[in-house]
Amino acid sequence: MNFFYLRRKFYNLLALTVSLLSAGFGIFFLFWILKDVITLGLPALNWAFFTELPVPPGAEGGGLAHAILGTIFVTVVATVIGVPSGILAGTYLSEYGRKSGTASVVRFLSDILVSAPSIVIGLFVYAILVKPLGGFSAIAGAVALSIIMLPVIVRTAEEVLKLVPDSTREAALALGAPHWKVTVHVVYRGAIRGITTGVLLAVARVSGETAPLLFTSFNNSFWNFNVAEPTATLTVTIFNYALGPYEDWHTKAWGAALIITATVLLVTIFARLLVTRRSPR
Amino acid sequence: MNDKVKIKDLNFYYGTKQALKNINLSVREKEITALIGPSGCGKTTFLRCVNRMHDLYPGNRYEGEIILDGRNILEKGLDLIKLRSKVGMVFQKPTPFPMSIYENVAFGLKLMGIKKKKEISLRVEKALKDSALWDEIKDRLNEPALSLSGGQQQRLCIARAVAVEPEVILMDEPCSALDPVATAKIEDLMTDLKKTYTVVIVTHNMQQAARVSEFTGFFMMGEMIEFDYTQKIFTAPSNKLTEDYITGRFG
Repeated sequence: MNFFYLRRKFYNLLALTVSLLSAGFGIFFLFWILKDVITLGLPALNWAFFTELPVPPGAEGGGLAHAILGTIFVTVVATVIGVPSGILAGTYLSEYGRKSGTASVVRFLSDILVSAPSIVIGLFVYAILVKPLGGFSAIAGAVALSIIMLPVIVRTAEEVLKLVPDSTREAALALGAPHWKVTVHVVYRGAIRGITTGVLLAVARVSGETAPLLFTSFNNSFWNFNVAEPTATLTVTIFNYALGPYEDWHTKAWGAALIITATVLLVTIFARLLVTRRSPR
Repeated sequence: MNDKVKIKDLNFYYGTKQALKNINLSVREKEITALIGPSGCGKTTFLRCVNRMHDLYPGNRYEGEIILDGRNILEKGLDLIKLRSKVGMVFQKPTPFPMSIYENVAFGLKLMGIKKKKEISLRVEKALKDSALWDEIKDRLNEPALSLSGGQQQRLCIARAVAVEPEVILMDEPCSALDPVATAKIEDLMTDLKKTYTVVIVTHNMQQAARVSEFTGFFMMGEMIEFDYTQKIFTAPSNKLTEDYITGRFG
């Protein structure tokens, strides 16, 4: 009796210790990364970093303004392409296709697409856009990112739309509303917060992608305002600068890493706040 | 007094499973008709035939006729949107839309193509007054409908249904999620509604059927066992099953 009790207590303690240690292990690395990114990245950040172009290799000073602009451009265009089509596909799955065969095929394919390595998607865009058009371009990078974003948004949109109870749809239909009006005016309104959160998380995810940009939008040392020309992005710049031989490049790469990490962190926190903000219920 | 809805030999199937067998009944205009019976007997299934709600889900099939104002509403190619603006429905659980109180009622009006803001707000006010909700919420029309209490939400749903001025209102156990005070309010409201509308109500509460309705139909196992004046059903039912049910011997 007493023995069994002690044994149970012992295992309980053991399980608790192991889970605490594992949690600590994960968090430890997260904070280590954050600490390094902040301590090494902060010295790189100054006015010039955000406003100036890079100086010739080896020289001190200059900035990564062109890459910041490039990342913003590529991410925004990817969002403009990926979000509407993703939401519409999610709408199809939740509101129209439901349990039909087509819907399950779409669902299955989009699940495969979620787990496709991002470098494969980069290669795909290289083959369909970069080669035929004869060169790297900002738009190719944006297309690659939008493909990565698409399945995430499709599934989130579907899940969130499904949370709107069928009784609400029925009530709207019973008033004589056509199907599309029910979807747009009632279902979307009930799901808007969830959809926004999903979109923000998808944007945060693609803004840190490097591999698909390496052979799509490539790189550039100057301002680029032409969608058909290669453009610099922060992630690809990190890749190049980190491998480069100059100390100043390394600092700049850390600075870029800090900006991306901070942006992703802020977007994620904002998305969390949207979810947890008290819903009117 | 006329028959508003005439049901002739109605059979209904969920896929291959027959849920309604040979239903025949007439719903009197501007009266309340109650449908009672044990759970799963087909009352709700029947109600949802009258506004063709079953069409939303694949595999459902109707046979027979439901004649509304001389026209069979089960015929192919019928404009469901028109039908549903003529036959309104209030559901078991309150189903407010995720928008403000005002917008909930205005939703149906906008669907009807009413554009003038002035007319919409007049009709929203009238609907809310008709459903005895106006005094409680007139200062908070722009608050989310989900912030109302359950009873208020249900009266809002009734307001939403009457705002579009249907001719028939179907109520599917409208009080089953409400407390007795809210139930009493809705019952009062129903008696007001029958001055203008034909009401069909499904209820589990036999006292409720006895209190509000003029006619009562007793359903069991997908069949209509008995249909008569409410008073007759509750005092001298002609079928043994009806008698057993209303005296509480089963169900």
